[in-house]
Amino acid sequence: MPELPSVSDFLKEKGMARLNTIRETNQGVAEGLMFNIQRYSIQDGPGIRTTISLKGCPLKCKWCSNPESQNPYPEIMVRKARCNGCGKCLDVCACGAITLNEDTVQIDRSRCDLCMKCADVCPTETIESTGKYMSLKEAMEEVGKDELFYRNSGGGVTLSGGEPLYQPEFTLNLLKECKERALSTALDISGYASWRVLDRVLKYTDLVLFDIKHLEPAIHRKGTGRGNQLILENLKKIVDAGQRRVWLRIPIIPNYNDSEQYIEKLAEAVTKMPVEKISLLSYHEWGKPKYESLGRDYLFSDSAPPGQERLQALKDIMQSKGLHNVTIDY
Amino acid sequence: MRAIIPPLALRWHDGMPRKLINKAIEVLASGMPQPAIFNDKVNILRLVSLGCPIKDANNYSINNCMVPTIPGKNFNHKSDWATGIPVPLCLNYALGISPLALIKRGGDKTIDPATLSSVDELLDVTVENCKWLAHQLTLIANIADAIYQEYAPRPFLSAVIDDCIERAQDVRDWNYTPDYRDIVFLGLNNGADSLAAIKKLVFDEKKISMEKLVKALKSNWHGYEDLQQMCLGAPKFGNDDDYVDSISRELGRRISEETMKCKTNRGTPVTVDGTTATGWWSLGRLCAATADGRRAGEALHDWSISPMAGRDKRGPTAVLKSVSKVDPLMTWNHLLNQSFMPQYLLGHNAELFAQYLKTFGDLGIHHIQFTTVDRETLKDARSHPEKHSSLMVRVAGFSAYFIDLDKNLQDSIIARTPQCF
Ligand code: SF4
Ligand code: SF4
Repeated sequence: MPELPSVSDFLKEKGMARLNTIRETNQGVAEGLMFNIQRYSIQDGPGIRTTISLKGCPLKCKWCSNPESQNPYPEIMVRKARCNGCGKCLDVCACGAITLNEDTVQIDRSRCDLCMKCADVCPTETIESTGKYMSLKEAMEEVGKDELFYRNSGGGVTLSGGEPLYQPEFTLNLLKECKERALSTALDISGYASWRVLDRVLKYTDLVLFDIKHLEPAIHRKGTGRGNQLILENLKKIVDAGQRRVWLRIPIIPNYNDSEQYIEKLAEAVTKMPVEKISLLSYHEWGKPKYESLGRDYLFSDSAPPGQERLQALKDIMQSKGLHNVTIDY
Repeated sequence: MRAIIPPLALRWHDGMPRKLINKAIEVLASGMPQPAIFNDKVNILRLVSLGCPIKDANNYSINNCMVPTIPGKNFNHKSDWATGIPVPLCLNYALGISPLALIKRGGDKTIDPATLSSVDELLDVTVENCKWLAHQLTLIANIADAIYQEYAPRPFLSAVIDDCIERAQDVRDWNYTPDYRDIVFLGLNNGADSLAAIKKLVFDEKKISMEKLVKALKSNWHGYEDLQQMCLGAPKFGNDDDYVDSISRELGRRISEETMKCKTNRGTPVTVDGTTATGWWSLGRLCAATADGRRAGEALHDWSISPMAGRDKRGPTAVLKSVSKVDPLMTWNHLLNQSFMPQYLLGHNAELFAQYLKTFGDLGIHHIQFTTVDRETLKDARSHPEKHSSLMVRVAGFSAYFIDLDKNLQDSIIARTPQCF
């Protein structure tokens, strides 16, 4: 009997390698797909932390500064300014997706099957793959490296994304393992996940960083591609349970959620919630070059970031509503 | 006090008052490269292991920029003979690669790259060459010491140093313990990075031959650019990677061991010292291309234990972890320089920085000093991106290399970075 090809070989053969990676993650292989591990992370919870950013998110916020965090499969990023025109990538591409234009690489993404061979051979780091699978053991080794820094500073491990709840098995296992080693854990989420998933991981979470993008379902959908009912319900459940520390994170997006009226409304909505801290996170456009390197359009180019004064004014409004735990974070 | 000289040293220990730590961070945040911080956990033990009574070791202070001194008691810098020994020069000489100019011989042992069987063998010969140079320098220094003793006594200093009057002896005629002299080695981590690249590419993965690599180094990578890229991609010190950190540790330990066998005129040991001053730049000018991917004439890594500029990509905690593996009690007193964006030292972040310093102390690292990344550095990165490939910009939930941002964004970051003087 001829041997059946593996699913991944089959998909590769059919030019559908990207489906392959989605399958693997959905099947709950105990590996996590991450796009960044940040040590000396000091913005994602108290103390000195290591932030593990998992790749893949159910929301597609138009202003996202980490567009490489959105798709749940590895991708290639191309920073053309670094290219020296050596042509090595051209030689290894079996899909004919690469051409050189005036000594600068050009990639036709509709032909690319994400085999990553070009990224392996590119000597100038012009083409790089983003998204790396890591076993629980590998991730824990990375996390363990800065343990002394966490202990001294009251820090720990933050799981972020993308949306960590999009890889529920891996997230659960990693948090569990951290708690077994008595490391403090934080979970940075959009809140878009079933309560069943969330409930399981919360047991091993000390601090929840929870994003509120917009309170109006329709506007939320317009900005992020999804409604907010599930998100707000989940937030309420977490807060009502009263067992986890919660920090709210409010991205301040120009012409989206930065009007005085909206902020007043938001303040009223959260004023009764026993959250420890509310961070206003300023929209910034530093992620723009990443869109280009992923071959995507940046949809937010007309908006200027809110200045410090504007953020302060919004903070004052929240304060006037009795919220004294608001901070402006960069 | 906005002056570079005299350098300020801060002794770090567990019982430090918090006010003092805060003050030190405040001074650093203003853009001053001061104070340099010295770890008592290392310095006291080190002095005791060299024979110093504990009560005096407890009382040490820092002379010059790096050298521990017992105030009023000892006298270490006896002659001005000092030059540094670049470790990469000794490594290259082992492979038969001559330096660019001036120094005719980096040692006296070479091996034929064709017969080289392991990276350990290369490390052995590198250490042999370091030892050879240390002996030459000791010889010169011993002659210099004898001449100084005869023709340049130090009556004033002798009057203020304990026991000279009682013994009726000049400070140059005797010395209080710890009595030792030192030799500076530089470029330890260029050596370790080079050996790691050779280990990985030639021996582990067998991707390139040793002969070809030596040819590439001799031709300063011309025509071998892909080899250079491969070498640059090998593990580098400063990223908390045992693969290369263990080589740095072993190389440092062996060099120290051999150097301690050299003796001064009084039969006391010669130890290695990390006071490199600007030698990492000037002696780098003399070194041919090295297997870590560095080109001929380029500076070595700064000071004596910092990672090579631009190659530490895992952030400040990874650097401390790497450095902590090169035990200063088994090697020597190391000078580490770290660069921070000023906002890491301001406001709420200052508290975290204090805890980072505490961990520096706990890890048993010998010394650290800081420079803050100021506007000038960022402007330089804007116009010379190749020199600043690891400069990171970080804000909540986002990080990117500075050089990958477009010019307008770079300008906005430059504008919000405080000016330092
Ligand atoms: S990843 Fe690179 S080599 Fe592979 S198909 Fe895409 S462009 Fe071609
Ligand atoms: S391999 Fe890299 S540097 Fe060479 S042409 Fe391709 S993208 Fe450019």
